[in-house]
Amino acid sequence: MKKELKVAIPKGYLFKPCLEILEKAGYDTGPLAGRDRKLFIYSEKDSMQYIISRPMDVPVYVEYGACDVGFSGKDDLVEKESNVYELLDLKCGKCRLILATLKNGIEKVKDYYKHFGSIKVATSYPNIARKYFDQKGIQAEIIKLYGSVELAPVLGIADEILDLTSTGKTLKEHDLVEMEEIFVSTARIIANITSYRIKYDEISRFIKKLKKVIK
Amino acid sequence: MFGNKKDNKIVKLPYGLRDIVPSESEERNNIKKIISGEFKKWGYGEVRTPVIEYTKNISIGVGKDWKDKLINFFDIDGSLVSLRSDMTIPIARLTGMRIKREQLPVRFCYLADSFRQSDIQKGIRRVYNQAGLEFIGSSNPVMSDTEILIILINILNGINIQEYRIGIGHVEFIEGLCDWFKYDLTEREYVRRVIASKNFVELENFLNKKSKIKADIFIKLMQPESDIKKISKLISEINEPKVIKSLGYLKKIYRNLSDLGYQESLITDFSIIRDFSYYTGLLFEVYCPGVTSILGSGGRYEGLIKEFGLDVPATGFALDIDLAHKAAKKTEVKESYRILLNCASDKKSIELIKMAYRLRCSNMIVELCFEKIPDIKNFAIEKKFNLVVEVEKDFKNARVTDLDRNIKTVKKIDDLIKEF
Repeated sequence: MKKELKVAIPKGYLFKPCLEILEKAGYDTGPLAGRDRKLFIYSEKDSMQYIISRPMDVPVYVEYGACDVGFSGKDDLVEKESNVYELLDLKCGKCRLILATLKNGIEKVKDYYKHFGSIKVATSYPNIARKYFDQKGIQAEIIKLYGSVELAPVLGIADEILDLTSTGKTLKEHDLVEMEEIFVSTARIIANITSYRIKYDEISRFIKKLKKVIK
Repeated sequence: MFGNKKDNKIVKLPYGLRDIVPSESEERNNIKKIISGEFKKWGYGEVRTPVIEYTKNISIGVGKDWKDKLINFFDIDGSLVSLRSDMTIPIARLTGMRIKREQLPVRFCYLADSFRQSDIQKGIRRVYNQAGLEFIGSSNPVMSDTEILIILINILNGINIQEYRIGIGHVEFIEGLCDWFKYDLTEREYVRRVIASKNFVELENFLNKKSKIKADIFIKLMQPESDIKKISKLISEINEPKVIKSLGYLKKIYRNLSDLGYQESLITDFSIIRDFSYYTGLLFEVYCPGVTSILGSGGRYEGLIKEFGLDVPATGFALDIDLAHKAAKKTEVKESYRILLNCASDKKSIELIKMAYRLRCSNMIVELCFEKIPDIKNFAIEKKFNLVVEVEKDFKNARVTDLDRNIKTVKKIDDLIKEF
């Protein structure tokens, strides 16, 4: 008996590249493309149940078994530290996690750190930020924001931001400059630890099809 | 009973801990009864150890990361103590302290709570109710491992868990593959770490640096496989003693379990790495659809008890009762007949106790009601009684309400008792 595979797909910037890969791998993405706000989409042809979710929730859905596999950005995986299998690097949806500050502000930040011994960092990745600064031995006050992180230095909430960038356009628009790259994030395929054993045949078939498209 | 928040005080518990109320407790007890019955039949004796131990003892054999998971306190004399984080280490301690070589082998089992620190953000529990066993000091590793796996399978079948799988691996296998790659200590540590964090992308990238062809085989060997013969084919190129030996060991276990008809639920999985560093040989984990974490796990540990003074091998497993309870398909439990017994007169309370005693002799659950309850019928329905018996003041007749059939009658007390 063929078991149905439940797949988590993130909304937002990863949605399109994920669809492209699925399509190239021979899956019927018709129902997904015309999804029209529906969050559950069943593809009868491939016996796949797609669940559309916020990118940050994909690792959670997969970890807790709501989905067997999911498409997730490496940034969200590192941030969430979910207990899931990371099976495949899709090499798409590439973006970089960086530290940035106001143009001409690098010296100011350094002075500030010397004076106060601590800096303020705004980010939507508090966990990554905490680990990064801990490992560097820098004391940082981390301010969690849910979006528009690049506004924080302009508004004077924070000295630096730790944020995602792909083209650097948003940084430029807000007069920000990159200080350091933390890591490069790409889309990954993740799997639930129980499903990985119990639906191994289905998952491995899925991975094999996708793998052919990437290489 | 537990639903009415209106006149209850709101009290917080430390995160990750919870109460278990009678309805759940009863179901869990049914599971525990089946488990402890199985343990007993194989000759395992229950041990109970203190919940608190010295941190320096309890952190023997646990990995670096695991030490952060201990819940620690200061004792009155300033020494550092911890809540136990599993039962294997306390039992190893007990064995080292008390068991003489001539008493071996010994078989211990337990049903106990263990405590682990967790991330407050994720809201993961900090108490783990486990049932498990340790088979200590047998000089026949294959047969002792076979024995505990049979017990595990019997239990999983006994508590009616459907479609479970037992993944079986061996600690030495990855070691052997690292020998094949000629990795040094830091590289080995790295390989172990990425496998433990289940990051196959990172693993493949790392292995590819050495050899793409070898990496391909390594990755294939890390995948779950229900046909152990396929693995033999894959390793035909690898001439590493540890790889051959550990696969040979698994084959023996497989053969034993197949001969007994138990092979169906087994899968080989060499990517299994437990976060306890004391394991030295066979390793296994239980998976079940619908349960997101590992239902149970275990394996062989050779060096742990030596740390406590007795150099003997041992093997064991632990099952998570919380998860087993969720995974277990409800078995038809014969519910006892429940009677709510009440008397209109306070003076007859002792008579009422005597009457209840007679009813209990025929296996009824009888709850006495010494207080006036305005709507006794609804109260009884809410609490899942089958029968309400309201004895009259003269203690001769009783008003009987059969809640199952919704019939009200008046009966003589003697007749009523005779009925049961």
